[in-house]
Amino acid sequence: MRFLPLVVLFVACAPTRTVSLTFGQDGEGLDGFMCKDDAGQYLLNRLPPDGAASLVFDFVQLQGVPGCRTGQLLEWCKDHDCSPIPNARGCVPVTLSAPDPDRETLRAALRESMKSVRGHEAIGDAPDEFVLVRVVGTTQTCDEVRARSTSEPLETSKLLGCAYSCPVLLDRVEQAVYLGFDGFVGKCAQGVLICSAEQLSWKTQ
Amino acid sequence: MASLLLPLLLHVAPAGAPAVTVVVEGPASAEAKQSLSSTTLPVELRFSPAPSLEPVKTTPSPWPTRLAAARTAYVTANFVECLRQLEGDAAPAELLATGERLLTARLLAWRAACHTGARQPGPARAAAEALAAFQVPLPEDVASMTPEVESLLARAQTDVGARPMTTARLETIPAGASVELDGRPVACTTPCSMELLEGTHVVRLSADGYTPTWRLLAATDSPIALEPAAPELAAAQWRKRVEKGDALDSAASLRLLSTSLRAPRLVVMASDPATPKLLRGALAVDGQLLVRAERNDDAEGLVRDLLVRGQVVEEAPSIFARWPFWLAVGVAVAAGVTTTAVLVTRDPTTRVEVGFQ
Repeated sequence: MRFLPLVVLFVACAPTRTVSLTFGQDGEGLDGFMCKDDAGQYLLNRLPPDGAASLVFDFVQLQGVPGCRTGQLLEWCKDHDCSPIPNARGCVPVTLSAPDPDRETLRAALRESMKSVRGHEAIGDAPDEFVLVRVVGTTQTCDEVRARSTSEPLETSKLLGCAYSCPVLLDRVEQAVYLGFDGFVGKCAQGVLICSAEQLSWKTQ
Repeated sequence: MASLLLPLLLHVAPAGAPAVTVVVEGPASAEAKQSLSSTTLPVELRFSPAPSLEPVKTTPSPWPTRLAAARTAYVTANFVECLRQLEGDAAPAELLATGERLLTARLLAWRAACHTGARQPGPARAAAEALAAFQVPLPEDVASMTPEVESLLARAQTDVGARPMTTARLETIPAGASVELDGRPVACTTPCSMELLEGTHVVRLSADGYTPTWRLLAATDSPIALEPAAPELAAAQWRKRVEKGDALDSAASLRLLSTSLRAPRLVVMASDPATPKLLRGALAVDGQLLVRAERNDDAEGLVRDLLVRGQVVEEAPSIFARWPFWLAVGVAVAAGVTTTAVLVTRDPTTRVEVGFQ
């Protein structure tokens, strides 16, 4: 019995791993924050003058391991519950730059803005299942976001951008988790809408 | 785990553990004692020195003085005084039992002379015949006696020599006692038979570990039971053997040491100057040599070996035969399985943080 405390201590003292979220070394995953609406306006134009915004981190349950591409995910989510895990939502205020007409200048500016939240804890203990990690930019404040259930959509008119990861089991991840956005066109507001939804599925505004 | 199993491997002498007397001799004795003083053997070791090798002081015999006084009385024709100095019926046998043949011869010769002087022919002849029967040589004192006495002594020698021989059988319990006949260290080792001149004879029986005893042979029809020697006598007998070069761990030496040290369980250890690290040992229980063993520079191992082989202590059962071992193994396995299960099934804590570059 004298060894029981040692066993308990050994188990209890298991180190905590830290997994980082990244948009890539050159901010290549920031395309989802540079989307324009059908009128050709950047969603970032919704920012108030002071650039105040919030980044909302969600861990979307998948109930399995679907493929990584948008089409694969949405196809999977037709038959599975792909909603954010309740109580796993995180939010951090951020100040974003006003959009620049030049795409690469805007990317660089966004990178700099995003650096300000580096080190913020998205979640203390990651889910023990395959999830999709999602970060949504919104002009809603974090208080407003927290007051809203994960089963409700964020206000679509205040969306600024979105990025997500491939399905990942965070407990087993060895490297940083890459967040990005599938899209080859600038007018990708529809993608942001789908990405930020309370349930991943094809959506039209 | 080691701290759990260690006590299983060690013995601690329990209360009431058997006492074992240990005698250590030789160049490595100090080291061996030091090693044994912290032993974990389940016995109580009592160290004892071997009996001293100093010779035993003996009290001088009164007979030379008394014989001189008798001679003086005889010369002055004071035969009463002469006989008074020589009185004592058992004196000749007692002297012969101690090997004093010359004193016996002088005593009997002077008795014959004084009785002759006192006109007592019967006792004078008896003394002369006893002298002849014991086959002790005539002493030089005869030259100081009258021709009549010399004639009596010569006639007795002739008469006794003409007697027929008889066979006497000697048995002792236990057997193996040395027999001395009429003060001569001759005869045999019991059980044995001897051819003797008819007449009274004195036999002395001695054996290591027993008190020497003597008998007039005529009275010894049945086996003679030897009395165990007292510790002091046993010590003297042991000294005698060692002085003759007997080994410390010989069977006889162990028997005598057991008696002299009053040690029912005795371990004797010795080393030779040529090989001081090589310890030889022997165990005797109730004086009987049971086992011998040798070890190189391992006094505790040697004593353990002797005690186990001599069945003074039981060999510690194999660790696999002890239930605490299996209990410990069970606990260890259970702990291992539990730990493994916990490690395999536990929910690792993974913190996710923003690492935007």
